[in-house]
Amino acid sequence: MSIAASFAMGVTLGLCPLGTTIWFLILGLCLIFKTHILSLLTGLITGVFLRVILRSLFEPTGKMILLSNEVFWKRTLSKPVICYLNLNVGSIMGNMFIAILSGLIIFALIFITLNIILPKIKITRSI
Amino acid sequence: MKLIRWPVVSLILFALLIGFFITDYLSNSKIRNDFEYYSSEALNTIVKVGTLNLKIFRSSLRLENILVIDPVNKSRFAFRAKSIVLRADVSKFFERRMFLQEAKIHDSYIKLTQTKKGKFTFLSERAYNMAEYEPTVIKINRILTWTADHLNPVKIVSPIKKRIIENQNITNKNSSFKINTLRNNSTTQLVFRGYKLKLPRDYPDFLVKTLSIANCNIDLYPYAIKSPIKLRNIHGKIFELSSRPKKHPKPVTLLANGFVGDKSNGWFNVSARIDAYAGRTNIIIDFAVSNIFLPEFLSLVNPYTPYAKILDIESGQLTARGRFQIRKGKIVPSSVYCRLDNFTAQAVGELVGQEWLNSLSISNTFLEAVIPINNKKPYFHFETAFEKENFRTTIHNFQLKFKPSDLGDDLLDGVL
Repeated sequence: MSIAASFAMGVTLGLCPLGTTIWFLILGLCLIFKTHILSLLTGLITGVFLRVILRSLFEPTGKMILLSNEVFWKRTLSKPVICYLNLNVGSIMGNMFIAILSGLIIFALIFITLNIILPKIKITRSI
Repeated sequence: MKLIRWPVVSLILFALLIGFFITDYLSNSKIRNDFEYYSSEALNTIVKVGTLNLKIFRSSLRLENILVIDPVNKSRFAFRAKSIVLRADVSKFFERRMFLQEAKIHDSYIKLTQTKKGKFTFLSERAYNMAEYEPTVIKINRILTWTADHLNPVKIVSPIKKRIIENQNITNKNSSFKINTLRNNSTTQLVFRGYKLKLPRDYPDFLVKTLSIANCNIDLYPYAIKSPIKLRNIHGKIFELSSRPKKHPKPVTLLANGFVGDKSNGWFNVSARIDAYAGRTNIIIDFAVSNIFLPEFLSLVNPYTPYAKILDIESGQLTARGRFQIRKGKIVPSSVYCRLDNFTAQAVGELVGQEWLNSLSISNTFLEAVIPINNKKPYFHFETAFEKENFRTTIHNFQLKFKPSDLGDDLLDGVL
């Protein structure tokens, strides 16, 4: 659980644009919660690589999300504090969405692998 | 609870606490220097601040001995104030807005210069012409943005770095938008490209609830005249002053009074109420002036009418009162009462443009006029107004010298 969460946080951190509000928030969470440092750093490097690969997807994804329900996003993104995140910019919204989604997917994959698949393989081998 | 690194949490809270209090101590050195530097850069002139006192806990900023030098004439200053006190509403910073509950300006001194076209500027005309490609509003906006940025508690924990914003993905070059910033020393604009959802701004970004001015002195420099018209000891208050009056439901209200001239008994009193909310245009301006020494003001009127140059006014004291009112975009008919005491003036007929008139002289008389203000198209030149409007006058002790050869039969019709 700790390894999966640390790696996912690292990926999200690496995918987020450096120095933005959300980047600092995730960094704060990484520091406050007892994360697995090695997994976090591995995830961070993976995230940076993913960022280079997925770069071209940020703008169209963000635009698609924002245009899907303009009224909702206008109302939500103009709320206090949220307005500082600049999520009304297509590229930032897309970047954040892909970063969080990638983090969640990687977390789920590692969690399933470590807690469901690997124990089953161990049981099979032991039998 | 085992999940949390408590020493890290303590360290972060401690750092925030230290940052919170240390700002007060650093305000007069670091923040003052920054303020001077960025203000000077934004206004393209030298701005000096004697003392800066920032209190985050009270959310107040106090500036003392402020001096803004004219960019062209370094020996001349455009603005000077003994103290400016600003008290902000911190909660509004979280909404990316700047609300000043109170702004007080004490013992200020402003020099206003009239341009050839009759506009008034804080800077000298040369400096004004140089800066015409960058309106003052943009400069003020940049200073306010910088101030809001540096007073913003959110920014203390999450500073957005310039290079990060520049690194944003560039895919659509057709649509782009710009954000002004003063963080970068070399370039002052960051450019975002791509799609941006326009957020609703149904409120003003900048609002001053109460702006108090105490003991303000203004020197008005008429065009091409070196001796100023002095407005002294001005006191006033402006309420609900906002950057977007159309989005703010409360009207802007203004009250001001002061004296004209250094030693004269002349005074003025103005009150105004401007309501522009939701496309409304309701304006009420009440004014009264008394004992204004007319020859001083004549040079100020020169850019607006040629009559001022024709009339050689030696003396005269103007007293006037009236109301100018616009309701739902239309002028409400009213009148302005004017009276001139001890009026002595001369004009040569040829200059007036009447061939039959040799000269006109009025000596030591009083003149009364009730000038109508109606919903006809407003006149920007007095002579047009004189020609098209019938205004009532009473003149005593006047002398007309005319050329009999050029007289028509109907010369004195309507006069006698």
